[in-house]
Amino acid sequence: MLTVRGLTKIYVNRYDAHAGGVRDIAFSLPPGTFFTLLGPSGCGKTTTLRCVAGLERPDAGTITLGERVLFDGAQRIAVPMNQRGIGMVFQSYAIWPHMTVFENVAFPLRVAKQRRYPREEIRTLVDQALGTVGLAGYGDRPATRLSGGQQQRVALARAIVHHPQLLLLDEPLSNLDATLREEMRTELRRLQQDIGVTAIYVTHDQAEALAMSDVIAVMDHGRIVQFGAPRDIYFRPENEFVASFIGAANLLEGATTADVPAGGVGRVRLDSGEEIACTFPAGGTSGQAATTSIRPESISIVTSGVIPADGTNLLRGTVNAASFLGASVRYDVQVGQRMLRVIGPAEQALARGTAVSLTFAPQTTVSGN
Amino acid sequence: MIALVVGLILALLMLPPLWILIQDSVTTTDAIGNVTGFTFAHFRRLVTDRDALRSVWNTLLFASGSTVLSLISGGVLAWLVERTNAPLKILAYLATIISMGTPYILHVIAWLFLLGKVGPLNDTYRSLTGSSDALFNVNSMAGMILIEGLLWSPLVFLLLGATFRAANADMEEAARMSGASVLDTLWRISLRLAMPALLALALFVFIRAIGGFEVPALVGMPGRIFVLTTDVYEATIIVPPDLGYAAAFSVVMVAIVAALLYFYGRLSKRAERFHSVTGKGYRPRPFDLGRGRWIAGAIIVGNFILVLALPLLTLLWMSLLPFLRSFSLAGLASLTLKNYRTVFTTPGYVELALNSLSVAAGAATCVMLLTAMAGWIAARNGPGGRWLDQLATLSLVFPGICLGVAVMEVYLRVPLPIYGSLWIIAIAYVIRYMPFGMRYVYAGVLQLHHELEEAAGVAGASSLTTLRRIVAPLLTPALVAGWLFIFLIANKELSIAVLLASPGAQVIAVSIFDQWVNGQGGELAAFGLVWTVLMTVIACLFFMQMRRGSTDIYGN
Amino acid sequence: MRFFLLFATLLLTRAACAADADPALVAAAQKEGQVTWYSTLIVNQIVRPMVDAFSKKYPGITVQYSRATSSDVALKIRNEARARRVQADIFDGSNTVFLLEEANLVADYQPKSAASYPAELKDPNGHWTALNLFYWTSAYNTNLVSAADSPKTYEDLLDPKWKGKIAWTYDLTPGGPPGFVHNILTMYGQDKGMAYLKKFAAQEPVTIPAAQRVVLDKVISGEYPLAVMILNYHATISQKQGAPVQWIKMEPLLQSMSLVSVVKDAPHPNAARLLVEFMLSDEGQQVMADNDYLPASPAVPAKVPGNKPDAGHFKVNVVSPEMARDDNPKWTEIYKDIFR
Repeated sequence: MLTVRGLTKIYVNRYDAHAGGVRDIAFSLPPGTFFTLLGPSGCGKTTTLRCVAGLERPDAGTITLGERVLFDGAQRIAVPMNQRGIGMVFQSYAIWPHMTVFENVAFPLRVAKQRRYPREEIRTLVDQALGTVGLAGYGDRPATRLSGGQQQRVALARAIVHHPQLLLLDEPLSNLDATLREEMRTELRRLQQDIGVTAIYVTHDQAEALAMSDVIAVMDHGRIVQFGAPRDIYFRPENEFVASFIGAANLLEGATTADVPAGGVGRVRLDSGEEIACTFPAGGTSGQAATTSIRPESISIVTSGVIPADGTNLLRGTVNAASFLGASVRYDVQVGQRMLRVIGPAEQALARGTAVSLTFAPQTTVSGN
Repeated sequence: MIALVVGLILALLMLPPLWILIQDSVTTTDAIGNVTGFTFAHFRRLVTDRDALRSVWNTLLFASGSTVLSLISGGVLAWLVERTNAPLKILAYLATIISMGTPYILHVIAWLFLLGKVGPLNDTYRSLTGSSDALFNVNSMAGMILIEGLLWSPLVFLLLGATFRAANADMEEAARMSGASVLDTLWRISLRLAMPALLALALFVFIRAIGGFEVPALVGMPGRIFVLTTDVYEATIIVPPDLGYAAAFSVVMVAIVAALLYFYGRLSKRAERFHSVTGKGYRPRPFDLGRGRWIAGAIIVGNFILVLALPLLTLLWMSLLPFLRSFSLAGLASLTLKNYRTVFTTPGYVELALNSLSVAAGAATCVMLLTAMAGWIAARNGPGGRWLDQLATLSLVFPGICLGVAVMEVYLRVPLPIYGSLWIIAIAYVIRYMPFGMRYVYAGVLQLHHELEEAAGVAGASSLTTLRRIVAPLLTPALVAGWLFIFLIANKELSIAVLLASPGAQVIAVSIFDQWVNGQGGELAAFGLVWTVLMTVIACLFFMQMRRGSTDIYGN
Repeated sequence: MRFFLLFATLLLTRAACAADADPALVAAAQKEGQVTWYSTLIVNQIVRPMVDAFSKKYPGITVQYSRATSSDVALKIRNEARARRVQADIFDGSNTVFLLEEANLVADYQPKSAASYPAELKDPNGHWTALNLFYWTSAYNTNLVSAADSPKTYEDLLDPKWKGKIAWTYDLTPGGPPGFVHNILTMYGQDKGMAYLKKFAAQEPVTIPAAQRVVLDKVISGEYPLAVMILNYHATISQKQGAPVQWIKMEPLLQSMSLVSVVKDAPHPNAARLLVEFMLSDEGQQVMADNDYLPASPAVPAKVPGNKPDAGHFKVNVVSPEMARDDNPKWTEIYKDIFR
C-alpha cells in the first residue's frame, strides 16, 4: 500500500516567483495497482513521481510505502533515494553506455546495502529479469548496441531485478515510434500484472493512460483535478479541464434550468438559445452557469431533416471542414457561432457546406456548475 | 558530505595564498620574515614611484599590443583553415600541436636569437645596407609585443577555430545568396556573429598577457623595460627580498585581473548565447576562395614558418654550436653533437625530466580528482555547488608570478617540509590549474543526461558509488582531455615555478631559464629540442583524445 | 702514450703528496652519502669537472649542484632557513657569504687544506676561504672590432662610437657594476670618478640580466662588440674553442675572489667539509687550473700564466672580501643612482 498525503513541493525561481511544483497531493494505492499520473507538461506529474522516488525533497507531506515511512515533512524523515528500494524507468532509459546489458541490470544488486548478493544469485536474478522483459541472451551485449525498444526493456529489467514493491515509470514510451509504443503498452501492462508490483506511471498521452491504468489521477497546475478509473475519467469528467484534456471534447456554455440531484439528468439552456438534456454527475443548481461537454464520437452526424429519437438532443449546423482519417471522418461543424468537433463513420462523406443535424444522448452529455 | 570534504580541501589550497598576499602587502617584516607591524607604505610607494607607474603603463601597452597581434594572426589563420578551401591546412594544426608541447621559454629564446642584434634579420639588413647598426632592437616594447603575440597565436587559432566551426553556415550562405562577396560576407556576417566570442577571447588573451613572464623577463628586462610581473620578480629575488612591495604589486595585479575576469564572464556568457542560437553538429561548407586559395596557402605556410619552423630551426642551430653565433658558413664548420652528448650522459638531465613529468602528472591527477567531484556537484547544482565553483576558480585571478610569491610565502611559514621540495611546485600547479579542470569536468557533466545518475541513485547506489561507477567512467573522455591539457601546460609555464624551484627540486622551464641566464645556451637548446619531441607526442595524444571525445578545448 | 703514462704518474704522485683528508671525516662523509653545492660558478666550465674529480676520489658521495647569482644563492638559503628545511651544504660567491652572515647561516670552519693560504685569502673566523681568483676586465669581438680600434683604456670607453654597444651584467656584486664603480672611484678619485661614471652612463651600457659569462657570450655572438666586467679567463676558454673574442688589458684590472663557505646546520656537515677540503687542496685547485680557472692556492700555477698579474704584467685593483662585505652596498647605491 502506497500512501501519499499532503505532498507539496514548490519551485521558486530566482525572482522569488512561483515557478511550478505540486500542492497538497494525496492518493493511496492498494498493492498491485497500475496508477497513472496524467496531465500536460508542467502540471506537476513528474515532480510528484520524483518526490516518491526520492529524487526531489518535498516541502511538506508524507509518503508511506507499506509500513515504511519514506518521507515525513513534519518529522523530518527523508529516506535517501538509494535506500527506498524502488524501481524506476526513466524517460531517456538512462542505460549506462559504459556497461554491458548484464552489468546494467545487475547494478541494483551490486550496490545493494541491505544484503550482499552472491555471484550466482546475481546471475540468476539478472537472467530472470532479462527473461521477463524478453531479452534473454542479450546479457553480453554492450549497452550502446541496442535499439530503442531494447533499451527500454533493459531499463525495465533493471528496475524490477531486485523485486521492488513499487515501480515508477516516467514517460517510458515517449521516445518510441507509434507502432512500437502500442505494442509496449500492452506488454508493460501484462508485465506489471504478472509481477504484481504497484506501478506509478507518468504520461501526457491520454490514450496510454486510459489503456493501461487501474486508476488515473489527472493533474493540472500542481494539483490532482480528478482521481478515478479510466471509464469514470473518460465518460464523467468532473470539470472542464479533464473533459478537454482527456479527449478533444466539445464544451458548451450555458445555465442550468432547474435543480438537479447528483447523477441525475437535468436541462441546460445554452448561451446560443437551444436547450439540451445532460447528466449532472455532481448535481446542479437552478440558474447557475454550467459547462457541458460532449465527446466528438458520442455525436451522430446526419444530413439535415432527420427527426431525432425522443429524448435525444439535436443541434443543427453546417459542415465547415472534413478530414478523412481512414477509420473515421472528423468534421468541424459550425453551430451558430460555435464550432463542434464530430467523428463520423468512414463510409459517409459529407462535403463542406452540407447542412447537418447533430444528435447525442443525455447519458453521454455531461454537465456541471 | 563529498561537497564538504572537497570544499575543505579547496579552501585549504585556494584561500591561504590570497590571504598571505594581502597580509604581506600591508605589513612590515624583519630579516627572517616575521611580521612586525602594519603599514600602507608599500602601496604608497606604488602610487608615488614613477617606475611603478611606468610599469603599469608598460603592462597595459604590452598586453593590449600582443592581444591585438595574436588575434589578428591566429584569427585569420583560424578562419582560413576552418571556413575556406585554403590548401595546406595540416600545417596550421601541426604548428599548433607542436607549440602546445614546447615550453614558452624555448620559443622566446629562439625569437631572441632570430630578431637579436646578430640574428638573421639584422644580419641580412647589415649585409644589404652595409650599415653596422641593427634594423630592429628586439629588447624593446615592439619586440616584446611581437614575440608575445606570436606565443599566443596558436591558442587563439585553436579557440577561434572552434567558434568558426560551430558557426551556422546557413547565415553565411544566405548572405552569399543575397549577392554578397566573400569579403562582404566575412565582414558583415561572419565577423559580427563571432564578435562576442572574439571579444571574450581578446579579454582572455589580455589577462594572460598581463600575467606573462617569459617575454618580459627575457626580452624586456635587458632593454630595461619593466612590467608588473618583472617588478614582482625583481622585488622577490633581491637580498633581502622586498616582499611587501612584491605583495603590494601582486595585490594590484590580482585586483586588475579580477575586474577583467568579471567582464570576461559576462562577455563569454553573451558569446555562449550567440553560440546556442547557431546550429551545431554538422560541418559548415567552406568558402571557395577561387584564385585567392593560393594567397591563403601562402599565409598558412608563412604562419607555419614563423610560429614553428623558424624557432625550431634556431634551436637546432643553437644546439649544434659549441658557442652561440649567427647563422653562417663559418658556424656550419664548427657544428658538434657535444651538447646532445652532455644532455644524454649527464644524470642531472634525466632526473630533471623525471621530476618535471612527475610533478606535472601528479598535479594533473590531483586537479582532475578534485574537480571531478567539485565540477560534478557544481554542474548538477548540488549542495554548495556554487561555493565549490567559486573556490575552484578563484585562482584565475593570480598571474603566475604572483601565485609563485604567495605560495612561497605560505609554505615558508607552514611548519611542514614543503618549501624546497617538489611538493611546493605541485601544490602551486594544482592551485593554478584547478579552474581548467573545472571547465573540462563541468562541460563534460553537462553532456551527460542527468537521468543516468538518477537511475543509479534509485537503483540503490550512494552518491559516492554513483560518482565512482557511473559519472567517472562516463566522464573519462573529459577527464583525460583535461588531464593531458594540464599536464602539457604545467610543463610549459615558467612563471609559477620560477620562485618555487630549488636545486633539489627543479622543473624543466625553470631549469631552462637558469641555463639561459647562466650562459648554457647550447645545452639548453639541445635539451629543449629533445623535450619538445617528447611533449609533442603527448600533445598528439591530447588532440586525438579531443577528436574522439568531441570535447572542446578550454584554455580559460 | 709514454708521455701520458708519465703524466699520469706525476699526477698520482702529486695527489699522494697532497695532504689527504682526515680518514674520520671521509668515513663520516661517506656515511652521509651526499652533499649539495649552491654555486655561482659556471656549471659546464668548472662545477661539473670539479664534481667529477671529487666523485672519482670519493665514489660513495653524490654531489648535487646548482648555479645562480650570489644574491639568488643567498636568497634560496635564507628561505630554506625560514622554512626550517636547509638543503644547501656549501656555497660560493664573491659576496654570498656576507648576505648570509647577518642571518647567522654560515658555519665556522677553517679548512685544513687552506692552512698554507696567505692570510688575506681566508677569514679568521672560518666563515670563508678563497676558492679561485677573478680578474675583471673588458673584452671585444675580434670580427667586429680590430685590435687597433679596440679601446685600451677606460677613457677609450667614452668614445661616442661605443654608445649603446657596451654590455655588462646585472649582477650586483664586486664582479658587476658595483665593482666597476669602485674601480673607477679608486682610480680617478671621488670627484673625477663620479664625473667619469656619469659620462659612462651617458654611453648607455646595456644591462644583460644574466651572468658575466652570458655577457661575454653576447660579445662572441656579435650581439655587442664590447663588454666590461667580464673575466679574462672566460675569454681564454672561448678563444680556445675558436670564438672571436679577446680580453683587453685595461688597467687596472679588478681582482676579486670567489669565497667558499659551509652552511650552518648543513644537512650533510661532514660531506660539506670534505668537499670544501677537496676543492681547496692542491688536487682540487689543480682541477681549477686544468679548466683555465685561476686557482687561489699559491702552490698551484695557472694554466695560462698570462691571465694572472705577475706573468701577464698587468696592474690590479684588489677588492678584498672585507671590502666586498662593507663597501659593496655603497657601490651598489652609487650604481643605482647613476645608471637607473
